[in-house]
Amino acid sequence: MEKGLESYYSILGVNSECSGEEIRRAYRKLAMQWHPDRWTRSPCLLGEAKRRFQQIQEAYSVLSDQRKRTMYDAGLYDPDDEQDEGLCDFVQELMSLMRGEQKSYSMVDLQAMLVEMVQGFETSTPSFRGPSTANFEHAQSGCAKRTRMDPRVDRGTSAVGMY
Amino acid sequence: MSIAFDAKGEGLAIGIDLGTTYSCVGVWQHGRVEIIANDQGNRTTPSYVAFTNNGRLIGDAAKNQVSMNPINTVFDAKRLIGRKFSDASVRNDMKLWPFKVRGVGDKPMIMVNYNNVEKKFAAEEISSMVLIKMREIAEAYIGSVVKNAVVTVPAHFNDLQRQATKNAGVIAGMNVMRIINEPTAAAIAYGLDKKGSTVGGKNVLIFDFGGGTFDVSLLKIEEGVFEVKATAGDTHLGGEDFDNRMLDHFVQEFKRKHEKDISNNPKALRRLRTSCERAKRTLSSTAQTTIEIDSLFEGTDFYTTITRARFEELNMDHFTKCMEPVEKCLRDAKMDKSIIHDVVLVGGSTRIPKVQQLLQDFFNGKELCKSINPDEAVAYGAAVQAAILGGEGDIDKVQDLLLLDVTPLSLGIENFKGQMKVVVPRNTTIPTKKLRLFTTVESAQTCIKFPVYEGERTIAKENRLLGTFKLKGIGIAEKGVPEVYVCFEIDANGILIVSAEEKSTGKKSKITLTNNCKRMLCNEEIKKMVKEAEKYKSEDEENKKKLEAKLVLFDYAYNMKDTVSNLSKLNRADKKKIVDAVAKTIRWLDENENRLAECEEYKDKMTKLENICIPIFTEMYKGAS
Repeated sequence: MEKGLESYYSILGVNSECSGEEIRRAYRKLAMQWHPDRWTRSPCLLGEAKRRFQQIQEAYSVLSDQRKRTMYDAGLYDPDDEQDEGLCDFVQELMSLMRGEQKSYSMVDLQAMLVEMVQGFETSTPSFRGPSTANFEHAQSGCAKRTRMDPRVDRGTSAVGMY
Repeated sequence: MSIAFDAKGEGLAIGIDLGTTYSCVGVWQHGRVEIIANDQGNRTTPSYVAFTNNGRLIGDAAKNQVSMNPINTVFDAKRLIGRKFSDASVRNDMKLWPFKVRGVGDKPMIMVNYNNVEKKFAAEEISSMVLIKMREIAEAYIGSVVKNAVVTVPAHFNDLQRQATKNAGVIAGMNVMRIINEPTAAAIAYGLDKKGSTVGGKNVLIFDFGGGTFDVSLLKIEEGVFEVKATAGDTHLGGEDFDNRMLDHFVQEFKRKHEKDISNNPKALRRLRTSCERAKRTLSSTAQTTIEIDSLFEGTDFYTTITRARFEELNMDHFTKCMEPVEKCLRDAKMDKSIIHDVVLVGGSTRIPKVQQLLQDFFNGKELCKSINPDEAVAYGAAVQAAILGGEGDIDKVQDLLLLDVTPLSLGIENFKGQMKVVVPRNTTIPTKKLRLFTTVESAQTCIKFPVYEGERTIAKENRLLGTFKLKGIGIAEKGVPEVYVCFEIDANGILIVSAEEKSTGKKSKITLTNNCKRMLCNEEIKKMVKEAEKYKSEDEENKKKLEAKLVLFDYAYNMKDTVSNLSKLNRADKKKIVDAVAKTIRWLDENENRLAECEEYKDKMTKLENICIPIFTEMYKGAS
């Protein structure tokens, strides 16, 4: 699974199997260390502290949310987009299925789930797109622009590229 | 002599709760917070500024004279700050304010008569005067100059309101180290002593219901980390709204009873409003209270009673409205109300029994936490944060305390469909930085325009436009080729900074949020206001001297009058001389009662009077001995 240059797990210094409580503890420790308020007396390091904190915060905001974490683990997390609940649930079930957890679904169940999900997209979220399609946004007062949202680019952007 | 103190030369940092109706100031000293009483001995100071022909008054002095001078006494500046003149809330408030507000551009300006001159003030200037007062209160207590302060704002204040509050600090000549959210500050007051005992963390809901604003914040407090999970509220709901309802009720009653309409008489309205505020407070502890105002209007007295039940009925919709943000906050934090450990009451309006009851019912009968002082908790927390940021020596107790606050409103850009494309969702922990990639849709397009909005509606226009910025000078290229990274950065004050960079050419373009709303102050205006604030301050000092000189003369004249009338040894001619001179002086003082004369004039009159009186008395005593 490709996760950009540095994974959220390594930013927080935890392993990918760790519990929510462990993530929280790691975050608290790192926030206490790197929050810019802790560096007000060394202005030269303030910028670095801010960058580190924002990185830690970004990682925590994803990993502390079970849905986002599942999507992230599956390599489908897009920080630019609100996560679709149906898709999250689907991926979550799929992941647990892959791990061979107790809950079992027949092929029919999975298909029904997928159909329900697709219907959901058709009616409520016309902006749904696959992982690497381009999306068109913005045109105002003669100046128009396009947003390109490629999760691979954005992963890099949000986790590493922006710093 | 502390050398470190001198080297820094900045003195202690204070925490100021800049409230809609009352303000409060605190300082961290000797390992604890001291809430500082003002010159009247009150620990909270009315956020009132009065302009008179005898100078400017701030705080208690301003509020005490309000019924004599309603149209030149300004309050509620917090309900104007960072808002547009065309805002519905401003329009409604204006109907209730005795002072005049006029729109200059779309910026509301307060019109007053000061020293017989018509003057206009921005809300930032009025707030800066309150800040100056709070600083003076602190300086009098600490005994040295204070430069740095942490100032609080309602958690639900938007970007413009925060920026404007910061500007108020600049105008006051202070360094605002940080703008922090009121409920978060209150959480510090709640959690400071408990931070050792929170094993596994505590989920705390802060219910902050003040004079003009209402906030709900949900925090997780664990091992000194105060992590705000979600916040919600209403920047225009508070105790004043209850006063208004009661006022309206009594205006109707007066009309019914006496067939007279007082609604166009600012003085009568003001006296009635003051009584309403007092009655509201009383009704929190008694079931019924009376209002007695002699000669309220055209010689008619107004005596009436109001019961708690009636008061609650008048404000029921306001009270029930308070529960919505509580629900929203829990929903946003993805928490069930059953896992909230403590519900903490902050702000004067939480004393209202009905509010407490509704809140308690919402939490299925849970006991509410009243362990902190609802009027002082916010200033307390601000003082702690000021100590941490100021890095004063004596902060062992708070060293391991960290505030992680959030941005209350989603920030985004309008897309071509007119939808709001959220870049920073609400309740994102700050400071934060988010990048978005944009490109051109036309070949050889050199300019991109971004309208930046704040709010939760999906249609951008229904949100608040913060400003529009343009990125110009994009290298000529095929459509879709330029890569423009737009960066939304929210600083620790919750204030947005936008920047952009064009990656394809490696060129960085500096952009600022151009203000097309014409209601934020530009640097030039702020500089001008800083100068004016200094001028007002020196005028205040000048007025103080004049007043002192006046009082010295006044005292002397009456003293002489008194002395002479009790003296039998004085010959008639001398007595008449003194009596005449004194009478002349008193007449002059009476004629100039509403105007302060120059210091020199008072001193001159004083000398003349002394030159008449002293030789006569000297002679008299010589003769006596």
